[in-house]
Amino acid sequence: MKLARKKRKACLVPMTSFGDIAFLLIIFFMVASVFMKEAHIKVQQADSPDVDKAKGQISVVMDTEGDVWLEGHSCPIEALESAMGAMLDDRSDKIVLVKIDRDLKQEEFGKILAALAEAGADIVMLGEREVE
Amino acid sequence: MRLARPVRPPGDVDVTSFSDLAFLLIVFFVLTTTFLRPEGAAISIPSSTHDPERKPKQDPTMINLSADTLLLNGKNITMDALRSQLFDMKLDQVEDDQKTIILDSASDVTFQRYFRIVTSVSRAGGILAIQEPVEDAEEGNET
Repeated sequence: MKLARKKRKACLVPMTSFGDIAFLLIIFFMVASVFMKEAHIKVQQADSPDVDKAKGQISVVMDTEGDVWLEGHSCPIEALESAMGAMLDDRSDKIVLVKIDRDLKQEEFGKILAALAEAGADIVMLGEREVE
Repeated sequence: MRLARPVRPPGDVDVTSFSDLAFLLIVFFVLTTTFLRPEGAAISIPSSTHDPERKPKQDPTMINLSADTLLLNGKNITMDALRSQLFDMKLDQVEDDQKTIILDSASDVTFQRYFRIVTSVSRAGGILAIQEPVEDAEEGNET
């Protein structure tokens, strides 16, 4: 006996909402992206073979001119210790990422390190990895 | 004379390619995005103290750094030799008291040179103590 073949239904996937989903994804990434706080600061990083991946939220930068930037905002070096102390007070981790221009002299960057150490910061010095 | 109005075409905009366009944008951003992964070295610098109780019992290791010389406990040494000597000291296995390494840096030392020393000490497991000139309050002299 020959069985009659069932007629297949037309396989149409509704794709109308794909565009909405895609645009929602774009909007999500645009809103959730955090742009670099220090993109406007000019710094040439030092290098060393002894660097690892670093984690931290608060950043202090000393640029090529010797100006100090705390979280992307200009901060006089005299005010750094008190500003940092206030920032670290309500934080559980005291990690501070420090980026200093490679050509600056110790008489300039030494003050930053002293101020951060006095404020109780756990200093992480940022630099590039030099291939051994 | 009355003119016949032209028949308007139906006003549906074809949005089929919108999703293709949007996904192409997503793929573009995903492929071109580079995440910022900072690299560095955690430096353990104790805050300054005048408490004689907290001074180390034995003489700590001393590094003297200037623009063109590097001394380890008073002896001339190269950057690479210092690095290997610090590793040989196995600072991560000794007591905190013996981990302290005093870094006395001249004012003309660049951060590049300083960074190499500091990261070597950090990698070896040492605690860095920075020696700073202190002004005598009574006499106004640097000591």
